[in-house]
Amino acid sequence: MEDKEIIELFHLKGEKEKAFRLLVNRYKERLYWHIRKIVLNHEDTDDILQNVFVKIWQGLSEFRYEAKLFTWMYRIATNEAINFLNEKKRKVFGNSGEITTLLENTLESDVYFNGDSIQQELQRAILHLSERQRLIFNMKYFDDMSYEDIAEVLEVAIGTLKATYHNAVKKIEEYLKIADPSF
Amino acid sequence: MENFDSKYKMKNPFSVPENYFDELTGRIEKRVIVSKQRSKVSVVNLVKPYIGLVAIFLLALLVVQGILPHVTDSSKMLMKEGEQTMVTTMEYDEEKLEFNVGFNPTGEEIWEYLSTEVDDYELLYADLF
Repeated sequence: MEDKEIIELFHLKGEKEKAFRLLVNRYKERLYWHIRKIVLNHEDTDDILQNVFVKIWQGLSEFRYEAKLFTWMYRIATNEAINFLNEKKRKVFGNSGEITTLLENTLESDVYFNGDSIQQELQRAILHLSERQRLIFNMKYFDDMSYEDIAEVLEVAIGTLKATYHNAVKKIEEYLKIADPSF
Repeated sequence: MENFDSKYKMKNPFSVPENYFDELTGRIEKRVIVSKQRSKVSVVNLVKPYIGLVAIFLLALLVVQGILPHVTDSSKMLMKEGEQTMVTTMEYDEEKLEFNVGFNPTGEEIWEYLSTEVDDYELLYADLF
């Protein structure tokens, strides 16, 4: 069933729950991994993901296909994750303090992180990117999203995205070269 | 970038608890149901304080409409009288203005007018300066 058909089903009387379940089953994993790469911790991701689906449920009747359904959901997930991080940073550090430090601590204490030292270094390198670079890098590199779709999610021009991604890759490579000279 | 890809891509270093994704749909549905109930309650909570205010307003409206009409009427009458007085004064002033237009007194007439309207001290003061 196409996304459009799910939306049409959602608008039919008595079919809302069924349509929503289809949507959850289709997108729960993709959205989970998108959020997880932003906040890193599993419990936080789980909580944010549920909030995201509540917002999707609340907003679905107003959804008018001005964007693709999945980019619309990605946007909600991205905003929720970023808001969560900012709020967590404020609670932990007050107004000073960096999200990078917060995420480094999260990564170290996460029991569901099974990466080897190389993977750890890559994650650390990603954490040293700016927030926008990190988002773009994750969506492009790990989620294999097209620039068009990322542009829809982040509401950024494609030219800017390409330049940001290029800079992010360069920055990561430089970071890894310092951490691992054999790279 | 190729070196980069061969080393890092396709490896997901993160994991989830066992059966997490199998149970996730059910948990999300429960959360949505809770949020629906919460939003109903929050609408009631939002309206609650205003119910009291509306009741007070209606009561006040009832008092104004039912008990105070006589007081309101008399004040209206007073107002009308005041308005009339003002209009009369204005008309009077206009008449006076029309009369004054052709009035051209001589020096003696002015002196006579001043001696009736002004007392001796004021005249003495006027002579000094």
